[in-house]
Amino acid sequence: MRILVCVKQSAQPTDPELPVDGGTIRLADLEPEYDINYYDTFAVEEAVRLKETLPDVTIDAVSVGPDRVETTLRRALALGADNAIHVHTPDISMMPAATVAHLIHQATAVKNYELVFAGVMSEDTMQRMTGPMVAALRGIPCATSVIEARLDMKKREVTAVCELEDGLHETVSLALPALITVQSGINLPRYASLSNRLRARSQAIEVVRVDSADTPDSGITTGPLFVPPKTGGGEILTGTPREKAETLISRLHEKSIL
Amino acid sequence: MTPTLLLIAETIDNRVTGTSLELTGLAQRLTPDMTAMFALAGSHINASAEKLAANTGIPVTAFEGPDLAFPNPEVLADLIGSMVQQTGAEIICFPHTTCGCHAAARTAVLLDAPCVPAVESVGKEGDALVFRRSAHNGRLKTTVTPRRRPVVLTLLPGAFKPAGPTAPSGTPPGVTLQKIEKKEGGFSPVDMTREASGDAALEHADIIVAVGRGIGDPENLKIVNDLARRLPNAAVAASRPLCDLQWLPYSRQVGATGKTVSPRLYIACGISGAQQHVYGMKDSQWIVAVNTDPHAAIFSVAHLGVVEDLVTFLPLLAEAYEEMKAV
Repeated sequence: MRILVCVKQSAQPTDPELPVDGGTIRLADLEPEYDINYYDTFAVEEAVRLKETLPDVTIDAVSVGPDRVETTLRRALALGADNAIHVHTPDISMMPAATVAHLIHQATAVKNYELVFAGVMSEDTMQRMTGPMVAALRGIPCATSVIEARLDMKKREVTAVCELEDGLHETVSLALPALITVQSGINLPRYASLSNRLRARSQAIEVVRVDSADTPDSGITTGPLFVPPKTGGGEILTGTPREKAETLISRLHEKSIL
Repeated sequence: MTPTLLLIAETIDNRVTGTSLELTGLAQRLTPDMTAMFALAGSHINASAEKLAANTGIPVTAFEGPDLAFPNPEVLADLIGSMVQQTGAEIICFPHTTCGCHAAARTAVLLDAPCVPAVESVGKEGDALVFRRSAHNGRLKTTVTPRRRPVVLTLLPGAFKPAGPTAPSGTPPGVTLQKIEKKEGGFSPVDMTREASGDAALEHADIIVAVGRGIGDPENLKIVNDLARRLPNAAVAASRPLCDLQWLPYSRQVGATGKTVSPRLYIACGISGAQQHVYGMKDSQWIVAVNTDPHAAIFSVAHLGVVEDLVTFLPLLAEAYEEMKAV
């Protein structure tokens, strides 16, 4: 059985110094650290756990982006993926989910995956779109925000528990092949083993090159990042830490909250 | 004829969710340039459809069938896709929820339509609509402009206020009921349950001290617990990542996927203020935020903000409280 795991390289800004309210900023100026998306680590782990319980499972990891995405794919290999596919694109800041989904689909459509995993969303843009879009493009059923998945190979189905809002859980049954977007906490991702880390360092990665001209049009134009003007929000206390603590307590006391 | 704005209301047990009513806020914003209509789905949905039409003054198309007893984003997307083709609706809007996002993604693919998820506000530039959304936990924002229609949106819960009740008019807007036959498909909802937990600490607390990734080390939970122990009727809560790490149980998670709380005082410590978390605590009576990052989104919902590291600040806060009590 082949499993595909979609992983994203997400950007974590490191520099807390931002321009004044309303000012625009380029992602590069935030000196971002790039790493595998938090939610995708749970997706990789879920695939690895299946591989441990079933015979003949191969896990492919796929990611879309420029050269730097290679480190994220090597991370997926270290976490237990068998192969990596790099859909190599120009460096496009905040590439629309629809573009990513189309590129993943184009690069993997001919391969027969019984199961496709993805993180429920990315931590940097939190769109929750790429997974279900890939499923719709592949023409396979999809369960999202999954906190428990049970595979039944005899019936060729997956039973998935989806986390809805306000403590509601919906159980759905999907006929294979199917796609699952994984919510964090579905498992506790393991640390990469030494042997996998060594393998990940040197293993060849399949590269699928995509030119700007071949990048599917998502039909949207994304503007620059900007610092939102302060709306709402109350007073920011000033002074030494000790003074702030005292002011805070006396304010809460005045309001009869403490 | 003005273009149509199609709003998809989510239902749980055939009842329209509160979040879905916020879609009327978008309708109000786009009136009179657009005409709104609602769609919703369920297994016995007529009463809810009539009520929705009467309360909002917006006509409703209701899909009713055995496959729609539980949320079914796949069937819903197929129905909405056909409806858009029939009505020529130009903007299709779902709530940004688990099922709403799933259905929106599928609808966008079926229609090959541009998609803008988690919309927080809308503006106009000439004839074009410009949508605003968050990135990087709300520290930064960006704009998204669709270049063609139809366009599929999801609306971030809490971002739009429901439009007020409409003045009663002579004839209530129409409800169209469409029966949907049972169909075998690859996606079948089986059951829906409410998470049961014996831990009701958050429901009963007057004060909640909530902690997020800013805590750094699980050892530092001691500091948070210590403050909560000193404050009257206080309990400790957490944002999702801490529960994922199993530092606190999920019964203490506040947010869209956890508990929704409204205590007298909510102290958010080392929490960035991602929409997911804010959803669960924004109705607290008083909100205090403690965070090292002055741009953290949590400060825009807090009544009082302190830019400090929780590890050094919370002990000072506990001390100041003890001193105040002693006076």
